[in-house]
Amino acid sequence: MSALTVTRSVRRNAPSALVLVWMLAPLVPILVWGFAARWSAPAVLPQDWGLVGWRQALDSGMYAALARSAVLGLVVAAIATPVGAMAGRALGWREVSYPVLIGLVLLAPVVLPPFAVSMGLDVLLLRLGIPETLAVVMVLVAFAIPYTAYTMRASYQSVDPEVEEQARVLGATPRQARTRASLPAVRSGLVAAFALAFLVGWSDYAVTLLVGGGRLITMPVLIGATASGTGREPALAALSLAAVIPPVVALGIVLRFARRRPSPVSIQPEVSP
Amino acid sequence: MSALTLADIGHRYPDAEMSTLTGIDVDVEDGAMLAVVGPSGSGKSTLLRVAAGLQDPTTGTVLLDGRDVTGLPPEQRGLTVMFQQPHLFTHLNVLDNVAFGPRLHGQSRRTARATATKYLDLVHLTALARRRAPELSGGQQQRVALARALATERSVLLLDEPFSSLDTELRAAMHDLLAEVRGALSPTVLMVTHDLDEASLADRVAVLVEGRFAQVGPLFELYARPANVTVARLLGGFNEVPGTVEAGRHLSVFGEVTLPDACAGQGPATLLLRREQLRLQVPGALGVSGSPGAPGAPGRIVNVSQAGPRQVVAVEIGARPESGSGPRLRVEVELPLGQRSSPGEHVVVCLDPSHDVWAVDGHGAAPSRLLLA
Amino acid sequence: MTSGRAGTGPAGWRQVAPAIVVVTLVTGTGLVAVLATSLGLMPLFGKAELGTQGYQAGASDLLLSTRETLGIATSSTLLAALAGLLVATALIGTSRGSSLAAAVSAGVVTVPHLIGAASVSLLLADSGVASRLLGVEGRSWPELVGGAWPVATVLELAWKESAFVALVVVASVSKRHRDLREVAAVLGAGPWHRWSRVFLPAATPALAAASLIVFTYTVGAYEVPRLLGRSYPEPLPVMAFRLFGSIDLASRPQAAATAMVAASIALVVGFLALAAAAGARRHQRRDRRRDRRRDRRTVPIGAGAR
Repeated sequence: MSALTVTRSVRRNAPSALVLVWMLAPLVPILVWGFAARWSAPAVLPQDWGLVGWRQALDSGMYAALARSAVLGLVVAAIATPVGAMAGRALGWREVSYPVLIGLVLLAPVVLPPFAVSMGLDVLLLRLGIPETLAVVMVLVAFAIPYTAYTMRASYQSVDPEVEEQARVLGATPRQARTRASLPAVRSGLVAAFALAFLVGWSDYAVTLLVGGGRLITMPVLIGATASGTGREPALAALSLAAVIPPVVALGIVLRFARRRPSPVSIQPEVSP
Repeated sequence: MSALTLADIGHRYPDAEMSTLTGIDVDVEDGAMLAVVGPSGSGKSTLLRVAAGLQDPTTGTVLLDGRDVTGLPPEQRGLTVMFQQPHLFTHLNVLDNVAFGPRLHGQSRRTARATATKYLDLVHLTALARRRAPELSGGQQQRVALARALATERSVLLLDEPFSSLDTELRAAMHDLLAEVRGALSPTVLMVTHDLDEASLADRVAVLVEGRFAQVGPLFELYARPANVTVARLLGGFNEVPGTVEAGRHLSVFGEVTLPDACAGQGPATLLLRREQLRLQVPGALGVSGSPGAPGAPGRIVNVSQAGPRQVVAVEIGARPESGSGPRLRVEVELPLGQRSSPGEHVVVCLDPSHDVWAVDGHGAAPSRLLLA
Repeated sequence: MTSGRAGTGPAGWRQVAPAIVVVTLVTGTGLVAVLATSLGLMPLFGKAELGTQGYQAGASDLLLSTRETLGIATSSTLLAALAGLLVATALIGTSRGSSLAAAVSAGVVTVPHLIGAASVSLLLADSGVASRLLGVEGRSWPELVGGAWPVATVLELAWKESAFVALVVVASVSKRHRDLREVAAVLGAGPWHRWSRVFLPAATPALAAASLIVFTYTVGAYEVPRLLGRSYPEPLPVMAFRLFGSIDLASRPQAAATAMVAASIALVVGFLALAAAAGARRHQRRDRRRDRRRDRRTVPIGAGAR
């Protein structure tokens, strides 16, 4: 390889390498602390490696918190995805009047701070006697809907509404047309929407804290409590790592689905000059 | 000194078994136009991209006005390209699209727009100056793309099948426009196309087969003397008659045909007869031309089709079908305007002696050995 | 307009109804309730009394917090937009190595802000990983976490949101960009011009939309300043949380007032952005209509029809 080709390949790969450094550098501390038993200043690397942090994390109730976070994420996703998918279909296939207005209303949760809404609802929900977990789910579903609805709108926009009509004239009932023709076409969008809603439930801190009254201990709540103390770095790192894994896995699933064969596409006739 | 030279250009993708291009050598004179034709997969687009600087050749050099530009990126070469798709910038209106190149050259917005108006006039689209790309038809977008390329005021223009996405009538209008542009600006043009009508606009045509030039020359020369069977097939309209060449004559099922002096040599060779060179003689009919002594072969019409206003008949020549044996040959004959025939007729196919014939023995990109001075 | 097609499901309205109902119920009720609370109309116990105590009681603190919030939001949005644009440029550029970089960027988007903040605190604290790597003693290390300037807060927000911005920009630009880049090159544009005159205009709408989302998010961000910021002055969300959890009943309206200020900022900014976008579109349409009228007057019928 000549000098020219070496410099050329460096120049070509340098931007990607810089991106990797920028993205990963802030996460290095929890990666190292997660496997450190003793790491006092000013050492660059831990003096002792070990899984002390993980043991501490388990002691503070990590399994239970993981389970609660997972259930919360799944429930929020299970509700927000179909609700958002229906709205996304109506918007993407232009089945409603005033789509712009509806689109804006559905965007409100993105603009509003979740803690403000939660503080307002807290008293109301107490007075109405709604159990905390249910209340948390309700609020998080509302905050997940913008993501699911807009993801599904984009998905439906890339599918021709005629596929359902096609299924009907081949003998399918309306429900069959949906389950066998249009829903499979937007499958990758559904997976992405589900993952996004799951993330909303999994990552939430403010709403769980406020509406949950501090009694619903999810991973973020546990991490928040651990971060307040001192000398808890290994445990904090272990909890953080554990809390990062499911989102990354969800991302992997979404990417695999996105790479599958695209849905049946209808040929759009070229507009004649 | 020629404006554009490709010297011994070779190209091969890193993990490919075969080369995309081999030994490409061509000069394009200043102000001249060269068309590159070839079947799909022959490497036409690669050739253009190498010339443009969008792809590096594995070997060889690209020279512009004698300057070696092989290592330079496209923007530094001093040429401009028009692609198959217009690719207009959607964030700019038509005028600013055309002014894109002049602006980069350092012209102020006003000067650049004045330059752009000049070229927009050339393509007759001044009225649409303030429109945006999505509002224009496909043909209009391509014209804007042409104006945009010309506005860079570079002397070399590369065209990559620029009109193949347009319908026939529009394409004809674009051919006229291209001729107009050449008259007004005299750019040096290298055009890649699969349309022979388009290629006829060029001064010379280069036939690219499997990465090599099979033949380069004016189009009429290609039709008169194709370098080999592949070139003939690409041009279309030739009948191939296999046989042998011996002492200046070609012997085949068709009969003995005297070859021109340029076709010296011996051995197996394919006789190339154009559809228009053949005539039908219906035995017993009156007043049908067929010079006495002209070679002819009896046969039977097996198919009749239409080529524009004329009929084209396919005739099976050779031993009578009843005998079942003997070599069979199928030729196509284009009938003069007004003459009609039907399948099943027994006819005699004659050669119009006022035309030259041609014989070759090459395939692929290899030239015929019979091409001797 | 309803499609008029042989519909296969309930009419359009019924499809969007559940989503609309949930969203308006939760956010609408929540907003109204928080407004009412801030005005003393929804106490936990006791009688409702309309008053502006919530706003007046800690007015000076409220102003300081607002300024802090706006400072954090503006700087992190600007940084996130710039970094996101650069990352997007890198991701669009090459095609081989960048798919790994793209996947990692997507991964960063999925990391919860809380964990990002936890990691950044371990990184930028006095004897954190960064100070150790650079060999600077804990005492001479600048106060990035919990210091006078919210450096760590802004950096964490900018870092995570830059990944979001980058992905939004890449998603909106990607498809035709490679072809347009070649066209620009053969028209004479070098790398800088290809970036500034082709990539940037194409990326701007997505960049603006993503920046808006980032801004409104950072206005309401709680966990990041809570972990990485100092206790005074605190941005609006942190102040609201503190007041909300205090035993003193009188601080409820104050907490609600703080929340209202934050929500109002987000709403106002969102509204302004919408108005700007709508205005730009109307401006374009008006220009086009004017040009078409001008064309009709000067061009004979039939010309330019092809």
